[in-house]
Amino acid sequence: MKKKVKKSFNSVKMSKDVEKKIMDETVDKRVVKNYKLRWGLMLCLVILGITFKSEIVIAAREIVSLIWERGILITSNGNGYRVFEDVKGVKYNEIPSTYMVGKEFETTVEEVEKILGIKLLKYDKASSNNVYCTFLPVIEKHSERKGKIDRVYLRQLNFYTNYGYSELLGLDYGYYLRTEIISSEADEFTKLDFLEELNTMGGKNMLEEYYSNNLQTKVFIYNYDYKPSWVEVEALFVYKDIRYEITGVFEKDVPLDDLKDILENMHL
Amino acid sequence: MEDKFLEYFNKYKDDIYRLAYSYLGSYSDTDDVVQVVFMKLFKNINKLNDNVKGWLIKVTINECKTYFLSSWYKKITLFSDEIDIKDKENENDLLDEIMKLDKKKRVIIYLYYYQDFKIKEIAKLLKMKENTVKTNLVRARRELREFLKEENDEEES
Repeated sequence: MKKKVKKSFNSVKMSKDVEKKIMDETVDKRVVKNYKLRWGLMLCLVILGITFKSEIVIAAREIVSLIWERGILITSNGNGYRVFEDVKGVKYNEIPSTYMVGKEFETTVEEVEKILGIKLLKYDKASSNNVYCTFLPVIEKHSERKGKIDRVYLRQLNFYTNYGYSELLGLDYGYYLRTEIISSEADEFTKLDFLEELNTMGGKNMLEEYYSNNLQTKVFIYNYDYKPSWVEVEALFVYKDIRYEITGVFEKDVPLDDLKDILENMHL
Repeated sequence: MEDKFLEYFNKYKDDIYRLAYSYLGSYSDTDDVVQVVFMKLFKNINKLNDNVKGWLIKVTINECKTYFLSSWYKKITLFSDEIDIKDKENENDLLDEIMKLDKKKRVIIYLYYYQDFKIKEIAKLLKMKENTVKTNLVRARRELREFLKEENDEEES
């Protein structure tokens, strides 16, 4: 199969036109500097950005509050999350993603707390207060209509926020925090998956396991037993039924003390 | 700086193009994304360490994700009930079959079979759990094997 796959992809190549465009924009630097157009475009982008951002926040609030209380109507197609349908509690069938609309949006920690009525742990040195929020919906089969997905409920909600994260060379070096909240309506499969992150630790090397005085819970710090081009260390713990995962990604060593300093300085 | 850029561009342009294509499933979208990727390479060429290929792969995946989240892409999907992701016929049947898989499976197949990445590395690149990568790979293999089996049967008969 390997040979055949390689052979099949060999026919996919960059066209001469695209090559030329890239050369024009880089090495040849034949960029037309039309400042008037550029300023006009920037102004339009700023106006669009302001409008779009406020729409996102409103949409996020409506969507999340609807789903958190169960039930949202999916009315349009699009690319989104893969969803699994529970069949007889054992087998999971994948629902084509074309039925779902992707739900990922940028919001703030405060907005999330307000919407969900919860408090998330914070760290003073966070470089950004923005949160990338994604949710994993699950289909609820209330309708008998075939081929239509009518209602979903929230199974799991993920937030990503950054501590010293920078888009250095397009790579996410620094620390980022992933928070997962599981819905009380989640199926057993999801609940098990949620808990297993703490219990099994498969494929991970435990570096340290200690009781945090600040968080009043056990913290697991581990890395992976392979050597990619970057180094990664993760700290995992559960605080007030919310699972937190802090990941440190660096080019060389990640100092454990640095990571523990974050853990011991987190607060509500 | 320009020589260095040209060296990497010529070395990796097709690999990056294939990766973006496997993710996006459309030649016109791929053309847009690879231009952004190589513009970034040009801007950052002096700051890069030895692992330029790894950097390019990571940036390409990020750019593809961003492209899917772009308001332009969302608008296109919102107004069309079903998008025909192919804008140009491929010349080989297996590639057509690969492109019929969902995007995660396509990228995993490309990284695993074409780029020879290990499952752990793919999981890290795509920010997925290893088990998810494995499951997707098994399913993709199963779907492709069925096609390859049919193709072999046809050839034999």
